[in-house]
Amino acid sequence: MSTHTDVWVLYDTCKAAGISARIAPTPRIADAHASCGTSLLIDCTHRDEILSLANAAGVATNGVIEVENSIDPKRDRYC
Amino acid sequence: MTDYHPMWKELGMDLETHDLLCDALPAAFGDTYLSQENRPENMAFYDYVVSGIHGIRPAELIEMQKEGRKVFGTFCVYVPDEIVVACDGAVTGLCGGSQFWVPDGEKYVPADTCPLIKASLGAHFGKTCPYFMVSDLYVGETTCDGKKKAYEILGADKETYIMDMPQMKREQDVVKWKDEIAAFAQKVEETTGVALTVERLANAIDVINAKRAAIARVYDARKADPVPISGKDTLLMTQISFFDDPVRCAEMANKLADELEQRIADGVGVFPKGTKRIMITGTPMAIPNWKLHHIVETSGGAVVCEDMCTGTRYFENQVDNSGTTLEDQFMALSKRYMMNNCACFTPNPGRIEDIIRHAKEYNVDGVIDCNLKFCTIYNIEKPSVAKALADEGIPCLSLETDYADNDAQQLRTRVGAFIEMLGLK
Ligand code: SF4
Ligand code: SF4
Repeated sequence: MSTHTDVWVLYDTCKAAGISARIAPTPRIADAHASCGTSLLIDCTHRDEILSLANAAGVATNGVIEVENSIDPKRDRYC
Repeated sequence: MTDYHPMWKELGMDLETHDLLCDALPAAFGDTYLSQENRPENMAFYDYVVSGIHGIRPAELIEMQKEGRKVFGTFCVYVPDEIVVACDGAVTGLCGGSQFWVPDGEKYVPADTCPLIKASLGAHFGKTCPYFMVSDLYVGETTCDGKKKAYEILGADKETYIMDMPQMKREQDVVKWKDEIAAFAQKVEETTGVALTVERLANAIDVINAKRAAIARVYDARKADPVPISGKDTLLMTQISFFDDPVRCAEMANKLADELEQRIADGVGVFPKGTKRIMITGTPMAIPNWKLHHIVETSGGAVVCEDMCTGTRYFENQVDNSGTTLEDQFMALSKRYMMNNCACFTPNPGRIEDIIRHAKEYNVDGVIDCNLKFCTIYNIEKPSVAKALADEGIPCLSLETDYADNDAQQLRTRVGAFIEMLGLK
């Protein structure tokens, strides 16, 4: 997401459209510059719909990155 | 993407090492938090804060400093936020909760020091935490021996003001703490250049009382079965409260509580009704220490209460705001803060009473008493905690851990067996 405000606008837009999304730290593969960044975690099936919502809401995105099955609650890697 | 590198550079941070820390967060947060089902919508604010944890709030604090306001870094719930807020300052909790900082801390204190102290020193000296870097002044307290010595080490590098905590809870100790609060107020006035008045302090007491009341509402909601919020999410809310703006903190906690109360009315929970209800007591869990909660909640249990400083001790008991002189107000603050039952006090029967009371109020099936490694004071209290719980017929599991990952499997085995045993009761 371009700015922290953008993430909120898009999150609220998704919520209003009944699409589930969660604000999350930007995955490192998407953020080579490690900026402690915010991103929106969405289901890939909603990708196009969300991008057009973002467009309509004037939200600038830095891109959409597919992260395959990266969540594992039993990995036990803490920070 | 907002690039915070220029801000971090300006703060004097070690950017290369800090990038390594940023590396670990997305996966750990994803595994621990985003893996949960049916989270309350109002956790979005807390997810947002974590996503920009080293950017968003530090940037706000820097803006405050540009207006001439000051940032006070604290390490204990005994330090009264009200005084700082009354003088237009900001408080940021600094206790380190990450293994990442421990090796740097071990360069300054023996390895057999508790990880919270090592991580705090490591965050300071490694220059990898913007909250340490942005603080104008550290405020320490004479609680445990390790912290007392750590403040000497920190104080050699950045100004560190120490509050001398009583070790007992007699009448004269409450008076002594009142005098310490008065002396601290003088220091805060000097640092901020703002004169403390009865009116300013009364307003600040209201602000912090409102924050406590809002957090209390979230905790109250956890008494329901099914529980409408996970222990992990509540812990995150509490951890973030330690460094967020107190007015916004109350607003966000109230929004979350509204949603939880609605969930209770609708019978919505995050775990099935009847899931074994666990209370955790022991040493505090500084952000991003989520290990034990995560293990419990991925082993068939639900954490419904934390009897600790990152839990009930942070929000219980309001400060009486009827004082008409600063002296009255300092006394009211002292009385409220002295109700916190830290293991650094002797004797400390109040902690046991709290544990039993909370176990009943939150209708818990079992208690996990867990201390960080090398935390002697909480470790020594374990047998008396276990005995008091046994007398009440409440099962208790005693654990010791640190911030590293390598005991997670062993903890899973013990926690899993404990929850299974609760199911057989
Ligand atoms: S456990 Fe004791 S020393 Fe630590 S924050 Fe709580 S009151 Fe302070
Ligand atoms: S966990 Fe124990 S040893 Fe560590 S700082 Fe807190 S009271 Fe001191």
